[in-house]
Amino acid sequence: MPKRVRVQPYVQIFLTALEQLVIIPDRLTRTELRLWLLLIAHCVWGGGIDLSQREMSDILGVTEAKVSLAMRTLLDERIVLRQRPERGRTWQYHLPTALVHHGPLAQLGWRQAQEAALLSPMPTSQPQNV
Amino acid sequence: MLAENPTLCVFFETIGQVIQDAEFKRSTLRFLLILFVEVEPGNFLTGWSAHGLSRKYAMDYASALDALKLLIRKDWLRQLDNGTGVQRYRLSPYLCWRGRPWKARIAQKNWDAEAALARLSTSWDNEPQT
Repeated sequence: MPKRVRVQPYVQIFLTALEQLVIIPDRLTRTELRLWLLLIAHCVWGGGIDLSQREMSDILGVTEAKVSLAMRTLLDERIVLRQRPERGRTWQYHLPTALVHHGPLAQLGWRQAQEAALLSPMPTSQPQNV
Repeated sequence: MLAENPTLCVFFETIGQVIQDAEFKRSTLRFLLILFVEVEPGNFLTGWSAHGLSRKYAMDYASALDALKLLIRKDWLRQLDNGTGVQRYRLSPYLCWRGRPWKARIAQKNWDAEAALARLSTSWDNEPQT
C-alpha cells in the first residue's frame, strides 16, 4: 500500500522576486530556465542543491559543458548562489532565499542575513586547493 | 514577512515533469512563470488574456497563445466555464498552489473529480452506460 502523503514536497517561490529577477529581465535561454527549474525541483531543506553537474546534464539531456555555461549565467543573474567548499574543490550551490525558500519560515530572517554577506562581489577564480 | 511577499508553493515532482517535457519551449516556460506570478489564491486566473499578458511582459503574442494552448492540452491549465461569458482559468494544483500548502491535497482531489466528470459528460450520449 503506497504511503499516504498529506502534503507533497514543495518549495515556496517569492512572486515579486520571481517577476523582478527572472521574468522581466527575460535573458534566460530554454536550457537556463530548465536548469533553474531543475535546481528548484532538487533543492534540499534549507535551499542547498545536492546534485552534481554531471547528474544535472543527465537529467536535462544536455552536455556538461552546456550545463556549466548555463550555471554560469544563473550565477551572473544572481538567481543561484555558490559558496566556497569547506573541503575539496566542488562549489556548493544554493538558491537565494529572497527568491526560493525551502525550510521553516522561522529561519528565513537569519538565512537572508547570511546571504547578504554572500552577495558581496563574487569571486570568479576557482577555489584553491587546501 | 509572507504577507508582504506573496509566495507560491511549487511541487517538486510535477516541476520535474515539466523540465523533462520536450514540448516545453523557452516561451512556454516563461509563460508558465508569468502565470505563477499572475495566479490568485486558489490557483485562479481571472481578468487576463494571452494578449494582455504578452503586452505586459513584452512577449510575442503568437508564442503566448501557443504556450496557453499547450498548457491547456497538457492539463496544467483549465478554462472554467461559469456561464457568464467571463474567461476564467485555473492552474493545476498538482503543479503549484497559491494558498496554504495543506489545502492543495483537497484541491488536487477536486481537480481529478472535475476531470472525471468532464470525461463522463462527453461520453454520456455516445457510449453505452452500464
